[in-house]
Amino acid sequence: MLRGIFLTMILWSTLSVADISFEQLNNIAATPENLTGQFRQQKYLSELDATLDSSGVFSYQRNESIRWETLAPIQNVLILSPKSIIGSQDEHEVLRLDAKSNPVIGVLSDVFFSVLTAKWENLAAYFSLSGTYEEAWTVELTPKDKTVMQLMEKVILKGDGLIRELIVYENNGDSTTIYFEKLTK
Amino acid sequence: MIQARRLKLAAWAWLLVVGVVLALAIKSGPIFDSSIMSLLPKSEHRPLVQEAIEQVSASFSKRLIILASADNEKKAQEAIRSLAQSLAALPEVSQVYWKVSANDMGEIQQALYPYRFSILDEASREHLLKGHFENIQAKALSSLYSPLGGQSSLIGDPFGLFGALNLNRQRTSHIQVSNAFLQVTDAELPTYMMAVTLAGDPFRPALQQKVLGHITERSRGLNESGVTLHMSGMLLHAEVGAKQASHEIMTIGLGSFLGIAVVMLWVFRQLKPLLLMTVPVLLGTVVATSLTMLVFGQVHLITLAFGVGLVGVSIDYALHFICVRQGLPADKVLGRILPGLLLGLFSSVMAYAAQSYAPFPGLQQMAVFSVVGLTASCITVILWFPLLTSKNSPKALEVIGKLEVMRHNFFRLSASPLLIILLIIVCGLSIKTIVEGASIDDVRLLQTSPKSMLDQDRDVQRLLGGTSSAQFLLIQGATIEQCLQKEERLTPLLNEFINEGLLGGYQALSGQLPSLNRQRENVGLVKQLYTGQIAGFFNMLKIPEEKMVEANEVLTASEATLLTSDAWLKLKGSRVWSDLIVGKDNHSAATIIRLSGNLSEATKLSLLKLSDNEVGVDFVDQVQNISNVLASYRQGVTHLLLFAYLGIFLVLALRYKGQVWRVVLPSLLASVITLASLVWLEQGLNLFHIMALILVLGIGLDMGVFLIETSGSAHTWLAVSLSTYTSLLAFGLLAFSDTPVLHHYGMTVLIGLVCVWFLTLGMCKQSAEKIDL
Repeated sequence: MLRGIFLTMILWSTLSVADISFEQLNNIAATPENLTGQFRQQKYLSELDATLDSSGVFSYQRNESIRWETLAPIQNVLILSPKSIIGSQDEHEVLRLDAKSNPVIGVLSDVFFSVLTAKWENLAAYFSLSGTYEEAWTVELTPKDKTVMQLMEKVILKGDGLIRELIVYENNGDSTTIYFEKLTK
Repeated sequence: MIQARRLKLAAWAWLLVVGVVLALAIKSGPIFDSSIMSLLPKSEHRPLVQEAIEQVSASFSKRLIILASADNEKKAQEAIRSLAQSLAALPEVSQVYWKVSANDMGEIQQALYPYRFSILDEASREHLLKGHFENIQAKALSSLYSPLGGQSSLIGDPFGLFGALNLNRQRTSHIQVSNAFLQVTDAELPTYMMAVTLAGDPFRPALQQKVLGHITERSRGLNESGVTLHMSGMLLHAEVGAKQASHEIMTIGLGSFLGIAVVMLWVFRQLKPLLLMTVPVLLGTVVATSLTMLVFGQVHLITLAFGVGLVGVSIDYALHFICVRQGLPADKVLGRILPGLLLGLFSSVMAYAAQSYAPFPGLQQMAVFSVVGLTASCITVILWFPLLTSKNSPKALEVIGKLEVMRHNFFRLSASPLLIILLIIVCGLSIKTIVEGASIDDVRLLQTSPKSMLDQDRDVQRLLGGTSSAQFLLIQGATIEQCLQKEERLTPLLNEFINEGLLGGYQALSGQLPSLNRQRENVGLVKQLYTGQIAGFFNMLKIPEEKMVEANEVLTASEATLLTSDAWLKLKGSRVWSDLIVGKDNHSAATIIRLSGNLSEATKLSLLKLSDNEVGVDFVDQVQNISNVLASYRQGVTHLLLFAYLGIFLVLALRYKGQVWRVVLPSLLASVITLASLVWLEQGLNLFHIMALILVLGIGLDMGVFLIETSGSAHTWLAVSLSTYTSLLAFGLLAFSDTPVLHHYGMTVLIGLVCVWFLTLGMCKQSAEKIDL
């Protein structure tokens, strides 16, 4: 009997130490108004067993837009806002997606936006979460929304005060890893 | 005595005939039709056009679109789910389309993957045609390096052509699948939709009550939780029309019945005449309905409505008998009034029968109905009234004296040259007005729905990017492939119309399924793209060359993979588009291009020109078609009416010689004045005015004939006055109806009968007999 209670207590305490909730993340992970920095992106294509490397700079205004500028090996600018995604190369628009007429793009944009701007309550609508937190945190997001499930298998986020690493695992075996560097608020 | 017994035998034999006809009709199963379309003539020269129209309107009329809006997604989705599930359980509903499962969605999206080189989106094709390969590559690179992922296979589709196709299809759709629900993209609040297909005719009252009753009940609860429903569909209009009509029949009908009953009781001081006069009308209607049903297999509700009106003229016969009976014994009455009755019947039957020569199924039915009904009523009066009134004692009626005094003191046309001149002037002005007056044959004449409902309908259609079911381009060819090729020649022109603001948009099969010709062309373009770009592209990505070879092999292997119309029809995603194909057999095929937006006259002209330039393309404008039908009905009936009255005039002239003007002129002048007033009051004449004029003419001629036959007897004057009064109440009150058709009918009767009565008063022969005042 006593042992039972003891075990339960241990389990409880472990859980509360290791587990992390969206509310807690809100307290730990900062959500700055503005953030700029550099990124390195590695896109693994399972079909070719090859990785496409790219890098560039990004900046965001919370709740407004993210400017994602790839500098190498190609020049490409993506402007994401909660409503649309616009892609351009050398000032020429090559892509314009309206979230309203395209649910997948809408969700994708929303997820990406929420990840970068640490809108955890938004992510809670799409994912269930598990993770650990000691000095830095690692969060694994598992989709529960049907649309997101079609797009990705899971997302892993790593960070301390700010986000440092993002890995998206797609259903077809591809994955995209993004490292964030030289972040300034 | 022997004659009396014969009459009695004949009366019972007649009743037997009525019984047999009624029994036969009941045995054949009464069918009442209420679709306005079934009254219109079939287009004989272009059966395929007719078939297309029927198919489009049939699928349209059975569809009910429901949108649910709420301030949050969950609420709106839940509303759709619960309503859809409960509707699907109704036997009156054959199908409810409200969700697309994730599996289906995936299947629908992936189904076109094998055809990614042959079916291209408009923008990609444009770039390829212009040789702007770099644009395609830029797009592919942008997607490849995008942090959002989701690019397609570098071997199977390195330039992301399939992704571009899918994106474009989603962008041009007004509905997106969100969480398996069908979300309306252009709405302000979260809005979801369902499409309900009815199991039966939307005009059937039982179906209306069941389906709409269910929705109303559910919507009350939904409203309370903040969900608003918007609907669009023929069912709603059918229900409103039926409700309004039955409401008006209740109120107007009750009003006219009370008016008639009170006056009859006041005039005759007993109930019996009132009961008596309903007998022939009732019997006439029963026989007419039964026989029409036996001849045509069904009775249209409009035939019934107008037919009963026309048969209502037979109240003349009953009143004529009853009034004369007040001054004569039962067995003497018939001898006195029979010639008048028969001549009256002859003139009405001539006028009504004239309609049957018109090439319209509706008018033929109505002609049969009214001729049979009137004849049956007349026979009933002749055979039964002597028996039914044999025990009545003749009675002097106070009102006869009053009417006579009025008649004597009223202006005499023959005595007043000034009045004659005035009448000639009025007549001349009237004819001028009629000749110069416009005619209105607009389809709106047939519309009964209130503005709020039409607005709601338009809102729903706008949100869904809806297209008109009544205006479309019909494309005919020997095969679907031929139709598609024709469509592809037309669509660039239609795109120009859109750019010029002439057209809101269109839906064409070729937008979903390009012709095989076009598909082969597309594959050729993609091959050029690969030849020119793929080496550089793979080099840039530092992907080994053997992968490029693989990619090229995939293209070569898929080169012949074209989507045929048969294969396309089997795809799950094609279901929503399949009704763009309206005809297909071994020798011929037909497709339609649906048009959206309000088509102006200029647009219609452009579309007509467009269809003239391409063989096998027709611009079908059902709105215009119905208007044309109404116009030709109106002209046809007018001409037939003129001929019929010319015939009647000749026959009457033989009998009455120099006095014939007294019979004919009041009706004729009244018609002219009525038509002119209608032109003036209602901005133009339409078919329903002319239909009502038949009734006015019928009553007017009866008046003239009865009066001249009885040498202007006071009893006859009472009879025709009463019959004018009853018809005025029964049909003239319809002028206050909100249903356009009934209103026009009522207006005509109202003005016409008042004119006829006064003119007859002024022109008829003075009473020869002495009246006990």
